[in-house]
Amino acid sequence: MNLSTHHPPNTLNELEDGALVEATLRGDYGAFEQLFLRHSDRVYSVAMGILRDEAEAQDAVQETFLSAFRKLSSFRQESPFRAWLLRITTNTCLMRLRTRRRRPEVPLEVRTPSFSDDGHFERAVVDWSPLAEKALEDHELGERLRAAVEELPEKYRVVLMLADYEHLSMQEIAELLHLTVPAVKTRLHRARLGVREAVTDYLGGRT
Amino acid sequence: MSKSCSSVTLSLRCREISSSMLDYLDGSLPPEEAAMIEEHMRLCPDCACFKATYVATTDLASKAFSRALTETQRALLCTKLRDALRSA
Repeated sequence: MNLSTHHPPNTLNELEDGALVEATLRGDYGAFEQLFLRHSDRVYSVAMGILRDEAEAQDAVQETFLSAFRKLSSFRQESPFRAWLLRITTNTCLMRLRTRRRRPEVPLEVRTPSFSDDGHFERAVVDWSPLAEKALEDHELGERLRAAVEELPEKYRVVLMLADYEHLSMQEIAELLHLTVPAVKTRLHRARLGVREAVTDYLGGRT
Repeated sequence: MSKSCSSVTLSLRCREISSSMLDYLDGSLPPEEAAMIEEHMRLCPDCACFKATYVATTDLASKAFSRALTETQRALLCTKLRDALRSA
């Protein structure tokens, strides 16, 4: 049942986020539903990136939008709705991580390139980058990528997701996670090296 | 063992290039340090390849995180949301 009391349903998807927020605050719940439809995949992606569990990520999606609805009057139009929603999503998911009985996270050592004593790469570096875009059509690469990301320790995986998926700045990530910028950079670099090594294993022999 | 750049005298080693790559790419290095890295990569194929694959990794990582709810999952969540909003 459509709860829209103001805008005709087929015009809601033409409104920008700010207008949908205003409509929601005037009582047009269909407008909030449009915000959900517009942003739910991205919220789900962030939730999966942090929680690594489909059912829990879906719960987090619902919790995020309910929280956003309750706090909607505090949303400031000067900043993008998406960024505001991301903050709620991240906090919701991190809170869930802290309070749930966690799957034991085996402290995996993130793989990094090997160097000789004199500082050179131990093995010749293969440039697989020209293959990368096309290789994404390869289902197995996609699965290996997902596995490589999911296997990262949480502290690296979350930073990688915020930087390379959400494209937040180092400062924004630092504020969101209550870290220093150098700490964010260290974690991000380690995460990227770990994923790079996994892709190199797969694509390196195909160049 | 890779010795791409060992035949020339370079002020930075590949290990340092690797550890500085994030700062180099986001423009936060002092200009003289960035110039030294660029000079090294000009002469060192391994480091030039490392940079290319490091950059490609950031794009791939982005795609690794991208997920979509199925239509069924979205519809179910939407219904739950409507119910919750009605009782809010």
